Amino acid sequence: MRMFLLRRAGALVAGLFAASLVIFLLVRLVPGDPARLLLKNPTPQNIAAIQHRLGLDRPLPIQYLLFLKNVLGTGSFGESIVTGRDVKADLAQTWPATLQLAAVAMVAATLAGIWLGIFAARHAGTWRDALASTVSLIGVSVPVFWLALLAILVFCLKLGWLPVSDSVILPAAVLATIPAAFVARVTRTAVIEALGQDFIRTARAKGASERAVLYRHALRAAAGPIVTMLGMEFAYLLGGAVLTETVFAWPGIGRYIAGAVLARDYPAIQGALLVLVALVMAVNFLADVLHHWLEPRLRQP
Amino acid sequence: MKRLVFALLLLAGCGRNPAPPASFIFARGADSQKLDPADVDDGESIKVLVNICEGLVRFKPHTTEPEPCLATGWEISSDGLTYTFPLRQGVKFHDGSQLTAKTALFSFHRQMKKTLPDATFAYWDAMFNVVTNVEARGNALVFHLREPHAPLLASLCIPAASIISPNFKDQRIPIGTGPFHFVSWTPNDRIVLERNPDYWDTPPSLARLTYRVIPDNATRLIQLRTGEIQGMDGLDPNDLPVVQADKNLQLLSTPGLNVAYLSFHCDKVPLAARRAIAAAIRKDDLVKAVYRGAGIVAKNPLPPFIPGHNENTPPTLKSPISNLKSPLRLQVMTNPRPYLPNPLRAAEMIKADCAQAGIPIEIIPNEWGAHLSRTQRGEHELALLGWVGDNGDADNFLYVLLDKDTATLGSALNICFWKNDKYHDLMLAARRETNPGKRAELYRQSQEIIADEVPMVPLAHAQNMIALRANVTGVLLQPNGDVFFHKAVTP
Repeated sequence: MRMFLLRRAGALVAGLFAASLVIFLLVRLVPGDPARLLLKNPTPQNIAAIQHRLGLDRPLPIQYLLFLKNVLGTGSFGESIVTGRDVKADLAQTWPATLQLAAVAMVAATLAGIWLGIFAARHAGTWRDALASTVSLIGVSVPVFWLALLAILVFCLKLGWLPVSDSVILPAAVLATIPAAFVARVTRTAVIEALGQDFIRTARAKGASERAVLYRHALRAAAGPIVTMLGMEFAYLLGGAVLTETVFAWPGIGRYIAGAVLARDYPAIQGALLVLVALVMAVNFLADVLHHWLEPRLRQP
Repeated sequence: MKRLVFALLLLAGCGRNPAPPASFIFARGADSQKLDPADVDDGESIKVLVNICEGLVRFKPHTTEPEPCLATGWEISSDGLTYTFPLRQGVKFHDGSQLTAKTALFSFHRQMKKTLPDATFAYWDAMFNVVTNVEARGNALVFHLREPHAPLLASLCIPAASIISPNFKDQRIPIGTGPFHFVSWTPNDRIVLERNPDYWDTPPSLARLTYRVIPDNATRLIQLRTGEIQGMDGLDPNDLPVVQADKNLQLLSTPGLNVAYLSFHCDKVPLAARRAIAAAIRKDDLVKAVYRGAGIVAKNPLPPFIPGHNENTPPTLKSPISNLKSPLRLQVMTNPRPYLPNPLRAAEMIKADCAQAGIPIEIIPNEWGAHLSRTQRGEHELALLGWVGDNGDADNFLYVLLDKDTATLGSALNICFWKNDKYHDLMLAARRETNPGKRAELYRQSQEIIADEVPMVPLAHAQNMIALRANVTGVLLQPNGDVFFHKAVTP
């Protein structure tokens, strides 16, 4: 187990370095120049002055090393090109809103997905299973943007039940739709497989209730793939947050990134993406560890 | 399971505080960049600042004509080199300090001497570089000029010339003299202002004014319809019928201080082809389809309400063209701009019109940042672009967009790269002429040269539009797009 942890942690650190390089290059490969976007009156002197101030006139490898030095040395991502604010302070202000949205959506997606998956597995092959599969297929296929607007039209404008902003319920429900559908499909397959195993027959034979068989025995056996799925689901949620936050005017990291990309705000994009990547990697690391712990067969001596 | 549901509800419950009901909420698509009036040129920053800060002069309602504000009037010396502004008495900044000629100097000297290392003060370089010094004389501010410069008075109406408190230090915390004072700023979410009870004019009736960021056009309109917000801008022209049909909403609109145009790179596209394309484009159809009633056909680069606009420019000469071997490449931005709601649709219509006239065109879509870089570097043959005016003066359109001075490769504002000496002489003469009638005549002549040489095809002027709840009164929408809430009243 210790070797496994060390190996995974090493991969995590190497992955972060690779990600920082990719992010750094990608941001600069996109055509467009922050100095030009910033200036209404772009004289050559103005452009040169801004590029010098931002260090954009230095060779790329030097820029990258300076970026790494700042991040590792002082934990700073620099200042936003557009607003002059400290990127770390901006991130500290936008992260809580996104984490709240993602956490609510994650819990909702997990509960709904597992319930739907077990429902389908229990009635495997019947019309109920077909119905549940159709529902989850629709869930996977619907564009988030469209679903968000539809939800706003119905629940805010027509029914007037909820305000568009300042309530997490609607954005979280929309954001949860696709991951819930994925969880349902994975759960269905895993539970059906588990239900065919001998220990289930044993459990039934000793008189366990159907509920106990499903939730205590079958679900426990099917937990591995579901937990792995949840790790990926979290990455999806953070990505999906960009669209959902835009439609619902939710002041989180997704909108911060969208705005920074359009303005070519290099420090802001780099900082936000690096934190995002680190978080997704950390969650996947945790999911791996959890999976490892749940699945004795994976434990090597 | 029950505990999980409870936790979920708990998480869902800790939403952010809704705004207090007494406030007026105005929503827009993007956040402000900074709140330093001298160091911003983005519309979203200026939109907020004009309700906090004021200058010596301002635009009269519904015009781009200067009128007194913090100055009680002005006097121009006969050689046109000295402007004197006596200051209004008893005006206080939001931090309680007094407005005097001495304290007012700060706002100009900080820009001349560049006292903030991170600030660009781009407007000072662009529009006030003719000013050699500003001094306090008794209770008046005196501006000394290098040479006569007629657009100065109009330039002093823009936010960069606002007078702010000498205690101003943080570019996020503006301290002005206006009807509202700054309270708080949550980036990407909202900026909150409150009524200034010590305002030198009648204090506003609104207790609180909040600017919210709601990026999606459709969401913003729905929030206006549900009454969560009281006003918004950035209306999609396709939504105009929805606003007009809703009894709870009203539409404010003015002719806009802007122009959308098709630019020719004049070194690459010969005169005959420019004339042929200008004659082929059916502007009426284009404006109808793209603006849906929220724009008017442009005859000149200059909007029609600006003095100097030439009503009678001659029609473009038609010249036959031959041997266009390969299609002309038309660079287009993919995002809407204030002067052009749907650039791709406009490009497609231009392409279709030109195809009928036998001129093949290939459309190259660009994301906005890339579009700016490419056109400023002169990588285009044809390009769609536009301009939003700053000070409402003809110089701010005709000189900026077409003079040979601004055709520098790499940083061009004149992306037509048209260099006409006769036009250049007219531009300089008009800058020196302080007689309004004679100035206007010089600008009218310059537009005849444009019509003959066709460095660009002016397409349209977009209307400024905002939507409000129907029960709101007193909101002032200016031609330059500024929205003033000083006299706004909600029930």
